[in-house]
Amino acid sequence: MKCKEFWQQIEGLSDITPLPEELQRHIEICDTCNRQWQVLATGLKELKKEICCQEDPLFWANMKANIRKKIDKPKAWRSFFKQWRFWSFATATLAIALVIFGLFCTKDVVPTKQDIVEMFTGPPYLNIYDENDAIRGNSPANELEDPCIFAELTDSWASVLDDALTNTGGKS
Amino acid sequence: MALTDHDLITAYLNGDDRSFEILVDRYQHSLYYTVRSIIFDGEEAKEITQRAFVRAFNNLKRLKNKKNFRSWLFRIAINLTRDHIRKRKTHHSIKSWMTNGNNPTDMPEQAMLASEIKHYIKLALDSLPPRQRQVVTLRLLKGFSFKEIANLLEIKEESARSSFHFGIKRLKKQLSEMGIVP
Repeated sequence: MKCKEFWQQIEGLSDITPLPEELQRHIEICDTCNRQWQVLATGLKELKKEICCQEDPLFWANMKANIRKKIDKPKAWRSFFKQWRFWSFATATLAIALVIFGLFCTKDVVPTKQDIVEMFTGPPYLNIYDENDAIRGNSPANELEDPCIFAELTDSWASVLDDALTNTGGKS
Repeated sequence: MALTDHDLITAYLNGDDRSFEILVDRYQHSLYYTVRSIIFDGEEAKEITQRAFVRAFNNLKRLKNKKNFRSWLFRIAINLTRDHIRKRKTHHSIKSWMTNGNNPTDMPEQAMLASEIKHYIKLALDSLPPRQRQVVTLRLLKGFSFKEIANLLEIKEESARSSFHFGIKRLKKQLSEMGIVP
């Protein structure tokens, strides 16, 4: 057997020790292959020993715990988003945020107490509504369309403004 | 009767925590020692094994054929190992190592202990390209068949054989340059 053939056959072996008889005969007569083979076999045997050293049970338990810790992280987030509390809280927050945003868009300044009252009761002129209007068939909604009523409203607001300025010492 | 991987994965996806433990127990030993046979370092092998499990469990829903869990998990680990070898870039330059006064030919042959030989073999294996190193170590240290290696590395069986052939050739050359073998 030639040296090349020897190494080709070595490559075909799944387990390098012990050598088949035919290969064993070759290394007995070939010093170069023998020395190469001894070094390889010894080194690989030692390496095998090293990589196959048994780890203690704590090592495996620790590994499992680490894996779980790293996997549970995204899972916890997923379950948090699935909770009904999260969505009810998020919906309520969003609704409040929308109301505040709406107020800021319609008003130039932060709404006063009066503004908030008006939000629910409507502007003061809509309250000028007596039984005569009811007889005439006017509703608060169409009062503004009537020019006479609008003039009356303007006068009444002008007198209110006059009174306010007089009381505070201003000029009309 | 032992539960199959398919059953365990389905149970895990339905929130059964015990299935996770069984799956990890089933594969952590073999996966760890396979990775360790390629990179030799115990701590690094542990880290890669953990990362492979985490990646596999986080992507379990994407695994179409649940029966292939084992080979899928091993493939993830092997890919992580290859990336690790590439990143580490510790392909020791044998020549520079020799010039630092580490020539083993200076020592008497009898004095060279088995542990020293192991060190040189490790060094020579470290200098192989990642693919050759994977094939050589899986074959020589884990005793995997070429078919298994080809399946694991997603290459043809012939490619595994030729990688092994050139790997061994290179290994011998490196050892010869170190002066360990003639």
